[in-house]
Amino acid sequence: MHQSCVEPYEPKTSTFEDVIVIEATITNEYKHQLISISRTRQFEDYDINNESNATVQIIDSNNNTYNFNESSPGKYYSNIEFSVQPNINYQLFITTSNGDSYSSAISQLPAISQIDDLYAVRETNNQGEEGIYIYIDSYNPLENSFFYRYTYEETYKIVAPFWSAYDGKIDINPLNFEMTPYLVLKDEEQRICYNTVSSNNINLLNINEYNNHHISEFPVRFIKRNNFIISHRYSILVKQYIQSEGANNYYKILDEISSSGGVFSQTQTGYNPGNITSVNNPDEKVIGYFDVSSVTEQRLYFNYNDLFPNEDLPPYPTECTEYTPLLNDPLRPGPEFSPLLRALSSKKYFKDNEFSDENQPWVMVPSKCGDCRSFGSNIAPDFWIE
Amino acid sequence: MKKLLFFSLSLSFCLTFAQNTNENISLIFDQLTKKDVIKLVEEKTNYRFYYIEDWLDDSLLSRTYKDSSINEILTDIFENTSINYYFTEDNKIILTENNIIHNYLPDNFFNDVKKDTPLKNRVTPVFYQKQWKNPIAKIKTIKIGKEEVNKTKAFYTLSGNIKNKNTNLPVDNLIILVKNKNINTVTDQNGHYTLKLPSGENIIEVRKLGLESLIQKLIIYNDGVLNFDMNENEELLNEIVLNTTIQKNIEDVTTSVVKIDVEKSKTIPLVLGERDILKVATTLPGITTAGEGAAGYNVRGGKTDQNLILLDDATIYNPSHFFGIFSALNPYTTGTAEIYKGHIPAEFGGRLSSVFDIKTKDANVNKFSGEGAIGPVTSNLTLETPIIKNKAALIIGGRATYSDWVLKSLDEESLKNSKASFYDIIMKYNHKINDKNTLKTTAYFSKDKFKITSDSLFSYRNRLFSMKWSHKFNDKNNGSLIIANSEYKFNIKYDSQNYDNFNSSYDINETELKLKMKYSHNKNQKINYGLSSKLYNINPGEKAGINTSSTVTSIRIPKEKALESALFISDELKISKKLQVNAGIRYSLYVALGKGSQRRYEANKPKDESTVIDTLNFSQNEVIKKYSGPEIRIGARYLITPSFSTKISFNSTYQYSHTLSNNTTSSPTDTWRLSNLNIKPQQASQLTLGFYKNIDDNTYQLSIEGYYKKLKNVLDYKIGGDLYLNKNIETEVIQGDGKAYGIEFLAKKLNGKLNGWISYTYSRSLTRLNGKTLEERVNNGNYYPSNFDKPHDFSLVSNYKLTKRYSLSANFSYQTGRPITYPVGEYVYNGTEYALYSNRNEFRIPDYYRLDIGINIEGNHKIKKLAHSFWNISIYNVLGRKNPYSIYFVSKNGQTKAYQSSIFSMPIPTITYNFKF
Repeated sequence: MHQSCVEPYEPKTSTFEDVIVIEATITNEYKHQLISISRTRQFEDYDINNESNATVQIIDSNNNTYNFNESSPGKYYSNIEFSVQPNINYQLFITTSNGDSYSSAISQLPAISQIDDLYAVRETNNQGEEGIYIYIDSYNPLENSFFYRYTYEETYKIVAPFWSAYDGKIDINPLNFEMTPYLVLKDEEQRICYNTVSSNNINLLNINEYNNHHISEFPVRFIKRNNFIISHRYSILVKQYIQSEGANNYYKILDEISSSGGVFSQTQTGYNPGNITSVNNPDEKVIGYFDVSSVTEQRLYFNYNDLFPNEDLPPYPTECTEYTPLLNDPLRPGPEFSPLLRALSSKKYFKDNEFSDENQPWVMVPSKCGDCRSFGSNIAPDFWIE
Repeated sequence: MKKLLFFSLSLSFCLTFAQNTNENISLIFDQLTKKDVIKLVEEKTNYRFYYIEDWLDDSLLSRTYKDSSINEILTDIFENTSINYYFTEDNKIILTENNIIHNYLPDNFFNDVKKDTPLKNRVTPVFYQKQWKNPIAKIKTIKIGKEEVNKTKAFYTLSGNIKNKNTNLPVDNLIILVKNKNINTVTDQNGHYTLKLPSGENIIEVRKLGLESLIQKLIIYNDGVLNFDMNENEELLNEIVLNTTIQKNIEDVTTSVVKIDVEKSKTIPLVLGERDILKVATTLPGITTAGEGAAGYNVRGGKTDQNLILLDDATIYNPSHFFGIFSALNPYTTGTAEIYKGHIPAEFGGRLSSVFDIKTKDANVNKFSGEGAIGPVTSNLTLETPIIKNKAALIIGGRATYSDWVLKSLDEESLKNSKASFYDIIMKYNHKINDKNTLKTTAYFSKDKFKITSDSLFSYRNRLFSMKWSHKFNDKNNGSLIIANSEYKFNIKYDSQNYDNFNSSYDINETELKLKMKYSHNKNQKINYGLSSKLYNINPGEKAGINTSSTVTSIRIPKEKALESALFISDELKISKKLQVNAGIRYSLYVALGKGSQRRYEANKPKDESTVIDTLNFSQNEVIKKYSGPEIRIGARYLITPSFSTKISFNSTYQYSHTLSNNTTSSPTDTWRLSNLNIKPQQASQLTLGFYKNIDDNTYQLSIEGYYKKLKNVLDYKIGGDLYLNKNIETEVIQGDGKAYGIEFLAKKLNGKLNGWISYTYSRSLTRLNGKTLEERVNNGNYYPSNFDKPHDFSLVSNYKLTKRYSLSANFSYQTGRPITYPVGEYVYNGTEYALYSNRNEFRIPDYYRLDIGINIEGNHKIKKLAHSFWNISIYNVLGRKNPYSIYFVSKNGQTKAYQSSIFSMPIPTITYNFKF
């Protein structure tokens, strides 16, 4: 009896359906609004199938037409900057290059929200793991402010733990192939970098669970204390969307059907219709929701020391073993077999080797430990405040 | 050890045979029918008669007997009729209609019995396939005739008369057979026979049902006479149950009723050695399950919550153990199981698609007996014991798992740390208080427990109790009063050592009071009527932290309460010999009761937070909402020939309770909820037409039935709906339409060495969710296959008797794969990859097929043997077919992968030992 009762299954029929995917969230931010259009792809196909050369328009109830231009494949930005206004109806129209037309339901801006407070608290989560909760407090005493969606963008500072001001180099004499190690000052920032990551989960909040439109201590993000992203300085930009119930349902279902089962049970999955339909063929599937929502955002900064004073830093994301490679292999001397020369491609000079002879001149570490650019950009973002 | 104990117990009973035909009585009557005379005798003596009323003619008799024996009286009354009678040890008198008896001999009678007597088939008896004990008298050699020196003839004539030793009456229709020679004859009305025998040694066998068999060795030298006196075989009679099932399939007005022969089901190959009458039901047309691991039955395209499963008149909510792999009904205590899938009698209601009417057998009031089985998963034991001799007795049956063998055999990595166990126990007490009053009481309890991960414990249980008091008012009126209570409960305990531990539970409790009356106006008209009322109490779910450190917020969904009542009447009317009608109506009234609060929503808008107009509050027992309606139950039968009939029925039903399930198949955590302001009752109507034909003296039964069914307000749910612990389930569910139709073929061979049945069904079950808003619409509001739509369903169940002790059995079943929703592509949305799913149930999982084989070995048939044993060796899924139970998709790390899970993916051999004492 050694046959598993769960095994991978290969669907026999070719089941691919080519469907248009429209990402259209326009907000009350004054900006060039973005509509992205792509198409579904086959499984194990990694390229995004962008839909180019489409005509994209938003028309409002004051008969304003906002035209969109494709700036990069599948990305359509409005020609002019605009923000969504309350009590005005908006409708999205798309015509693809092959003539298929799509239109959205007429949508209005729900209430405009505010964020009262965004703060970080050192706490233990339900699984008993210690870390930092990012909480939000908000009070929106308006009608039509039931459904919230949160996204965030987090930026963190990375400090290479084995950084040296110098890079190691080896000079090879072309006549006798004698190798001479030497150091040069780094001409690029490799010690401090920054990385920015966007949230990719669906974080919804239905305010009816709370009293009197008060949102208090709603957890937007939990970061385990051993996550290196909070090692030095961390910043999170939280966006709070107030959306329609339709949009809320759309996102909710999207989240719930992404995993569908176990040995004995199976969740009902299915096509999740949004509010965009094909003009020519009402039965055609269209993915996406034309979401007119209000957004407010707030940024928070904290340092590791603020929350974990005098405590050990979280582990660096990679192992930082120190190496002392030989300059010349005693059995096969010369640059061709030089361990040190070879190490230069994947390792960084950290410091001089105080304990050894000339044949092991340097202590080296993996590049990732001495050069932060493996994890981010060495240019601080514009908004960054130290 | 167990076995030893049973042996010693079985020594403590002995066979009492106290036939007293010498009791003399005096009777005077004037212008009475035979039936009335029998009643009179019953009143005057301790004798009880067992017979079928149709056998007795309506001629009137006037007699005076003084100090006559019963024997004399009966001989007189039944003179010039075809009625014969037998006395049994417990003062029973069984009447038989002579010329019918030998027509339906049990399997192990001679196979070459000639059915040469022309018969008029009226209602005919059938014999249960019980253990036959045919004590054979010792063989003696008799010499017939004077041996002559000059033998000239090759054949001599043997003649004689055969009498019943006990009654001194001639025995007619007795078969006399010459062993190993193709010679046989039957006695005439006077018990006379004539046989032509080859000269020399002959062995003749004499057999008749109800009489002890006789083997006689004789040497015939010349024509001669040989008379026999036959002993009655009381043991045998004990095992005969007079019943009317064989022709019943033709003559009964009810369409589409499935009867499970509980006794016969023991030779059917088993899964993991568990006898299971409901599994047998799924081999018959119209009854399916979603898969091997799915609890619940789909009857004629209905959902699993549309079956009313009654165990001794009490509802059993979850009749399965361990995800539906085993049924929770004890097969050893079950007496009869009838499934109504077309015409549902008017006395039943509350569920749309079917009624499973399962009755526990009455315990034997005369002697102590027991039965048991030892299998790889469970062991069970059933005991029957008289409490008051001839009046009251108790039957207790129980079974339990003793290992986690089930899970180990599944060999699924994710179930490695799992544990599962279950047990069930049933007790029934039957008491015949007097001739007019009978009381029956049943109590049942079943419990399942399993652990899928090390920190979660899941359990569920059924509990039920019922009491039925039957009273005979007079010859024409009788009735019964039933009180039944049942409860279903499940519990999920998540004890994670962390702060998120919780305990969550659900329960439903119902109590029903039912009065059922029967009025027999005359032979041609019988009226059933009555009323019932059922009170539901549901605790729809609560969740709380196990200890104070838990951070889980406590939730408790307010209780639900409702009263479901009904009045019913049905009239069974024989219009002519050929046409019979059963017209019934049931009027049901449902009242949802407070206390509670109900939301009102804007009309024609999706029911959600934003469309709430109002919240209404109701105080304790205040009427929240009333629903009522008539349910029509009408059927008719027309006999085209005595063995060929056609039936038609129209049936409509209401259902006020619904299960909520997030799964495509039903599971123990599905919750029952009640109709209220926002959830309407479900409705169905069904039209059935069938043709039924018995051939070769009921050896073969053929039937073909077609049905068309429409359903309304069937509960489905929105994709990704949150159903458990939801206060406002109306925001997550959709009520839609359904339709189902099909044609069912069934061919049964009831006796002979090879018996069994073949069934084939072509059926469709479709659903339409066409709500007013986009999210209440599935597949654009068109009909689509329901989760259990399996167009082709074929089953073969066969048993071949090799010898009296050995038989082979084989099952084969084939079904179209169940519909499924596939991912048909993937896409990136807001930076995350998602799968695009097809229309609901657009695709199907691969077809299901399975072959099982089994060998049944009966213990030897020595009369003196105290315990009867029976071995069953079976192999489930011989072909090792990996029948997919589910196909599911997991999106992980931006990739969607399909997995197939099978429950029994390899041949599973098991041995079960059954014993009876």
